[in-house]
Amino acid sequence: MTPTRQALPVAVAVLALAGCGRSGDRADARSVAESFYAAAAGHDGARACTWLSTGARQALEQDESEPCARAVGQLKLTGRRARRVEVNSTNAAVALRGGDVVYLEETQQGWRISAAGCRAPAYDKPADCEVQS
Amino acid sequence: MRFVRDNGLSIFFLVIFLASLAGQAIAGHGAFNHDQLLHHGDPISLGRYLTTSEFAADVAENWQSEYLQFTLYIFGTVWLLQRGSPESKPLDNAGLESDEDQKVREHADARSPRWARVGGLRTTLYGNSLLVVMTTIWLASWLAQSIAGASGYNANQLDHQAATVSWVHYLGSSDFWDRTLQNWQSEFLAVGSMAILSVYLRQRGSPESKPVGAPHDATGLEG
Repeated sequence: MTPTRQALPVAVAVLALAGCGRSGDRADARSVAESFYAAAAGHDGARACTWLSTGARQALEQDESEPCARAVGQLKLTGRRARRVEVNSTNAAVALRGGDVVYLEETQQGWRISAAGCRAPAYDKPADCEVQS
Repeated sequence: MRFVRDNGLSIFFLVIFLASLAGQAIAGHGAFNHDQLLHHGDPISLGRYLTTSEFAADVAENWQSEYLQFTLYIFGTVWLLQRGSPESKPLDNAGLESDEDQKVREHADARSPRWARVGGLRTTLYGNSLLVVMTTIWLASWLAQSIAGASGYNANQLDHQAATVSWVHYLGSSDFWDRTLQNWQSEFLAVGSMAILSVYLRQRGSPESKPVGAPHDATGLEG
């Protein structure tokens, strides 16, 4: 089999697997979501805010008219441990046990939360979230 | 140099394929990052973009339609005719033709490929190998489009805090069929145009055209 004929099936397989998530993405997304909720539950607002994306942090500060570290204490957040993690390209969602869904995006600092405290996502209607960018 | 001369057609299309794929990557990367900024997200590197499902789906959806085009063209020209077109076989020659015309089995000569000569399943398989391979590549790239497309679709769902869908659900989605059919319509139009325009128009020197002086109703001639 010539190199060209060998390359084509490999190329098709690579295309199919793209976006399935790089190794480590699921673990990283899970870790960020759980760390944010742990920090918020422990009233460590400054640490919690480090896990938010720039857009989410700005939206929170604007909505609550307070610095992020204080505003995050006003959020109604439910859950601690991840039940399910889904990664698609540069976006992810972590569903927490008995609680919220957390949405994340890939940033230059790694995975960061773009929306938290989200409930009841539907196919054609965005979830209601406590904070979102 | 002889290698280049003897393989110029393949080399030319390989070079412009690679150049346009690189151009698509650069343009797609720019468009992706523009959308990221509009959604208050961070831009990503070109290397990262090349591993996204968005890029993979954009490539695969075009590959699958091209290979479907050739699959249908190869199969269609066995059975269907077009009076006056060099793309068509002569009007009295529809179908798989005789072993003698196809130079298989006892009608093969010393320079025929071995599997054309040996007979049995191997000759049958070889006699349909072009269609089999084109069909396989079409189906494989369509599968790749569906997998990468589902991931890209779900990434957009997550970006809007909406629920994701399964791969099976995505196969029935308007996004999948919009991507698929927008490519199919252009491929079928191109082949159909070629079949009929080549009845009346000529390109001197091209085997895709009849000889310039050939009559309009001459079928199956090459220039």
